[in-house]
Amino acid sequence: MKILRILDSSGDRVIVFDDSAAAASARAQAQALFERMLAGGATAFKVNRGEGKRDEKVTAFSALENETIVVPRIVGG
Amino acid sequence: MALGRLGRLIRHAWGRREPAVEEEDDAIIVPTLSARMAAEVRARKLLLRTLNPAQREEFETRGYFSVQVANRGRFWILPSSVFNVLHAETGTSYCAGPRAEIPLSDLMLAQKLILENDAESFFSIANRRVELIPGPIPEPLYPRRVLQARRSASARLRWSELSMNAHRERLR
Repeated sequence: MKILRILDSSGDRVIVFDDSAAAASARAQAQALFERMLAGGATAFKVNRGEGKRDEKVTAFSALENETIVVPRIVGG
Repeated sequence: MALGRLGRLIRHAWGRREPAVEEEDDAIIVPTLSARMAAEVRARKLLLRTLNPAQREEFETRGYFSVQVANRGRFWILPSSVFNVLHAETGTSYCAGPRAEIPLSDLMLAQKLILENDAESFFSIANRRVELIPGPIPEPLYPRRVLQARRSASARLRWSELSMNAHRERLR
């Protein structure tokens, strides 16, 4: 089970998916959103990876692990 | 709607009570506030779950936490929506965050993730200003000093505005 979190005004939007056939629709939705957001300048990070692993920036949907946080494009304030 | 509310207050003051009905104004405002509060609660939970143990302890006891940035040193992430990334060595504050409107805890989380994993993308776009002169006070007190200074600065501004209004005619 993989979780994709996109930070937004509600806190975060969550899409849960896995590699099973039953989750094909959710997976396709997650991939489309992930790629669209990164194309728009967002940045994604693998978090809460367990076993003491550090958070890590990720750019490929196929490399997602248990939990990913997508940060919308940042701008200077 | 505001006039209706005022009318009800006035009628109440004159002893003519209205039936117990919910304020229409409140019906518009309350869901927005509660939605924002719910978003902040949700964001805070995610932030707490994502901070490392030392950062979590800092955040829970002080309301801010520090991150170590490769080749740049330590930065404080303060609970503020502007210029809230404070360099522990130089006292310079940086301002950059998601363009989208997100809760404060989400902003702090986003800054932590970017500073720890993709710092140059942050510094390449962040605006900066010198917030304090390092040296006179111990480094661990920098965040509190900055937050206190910002609060007192806004208080002085309000007083100044009041003073200007009082002497407006003489200034022309």
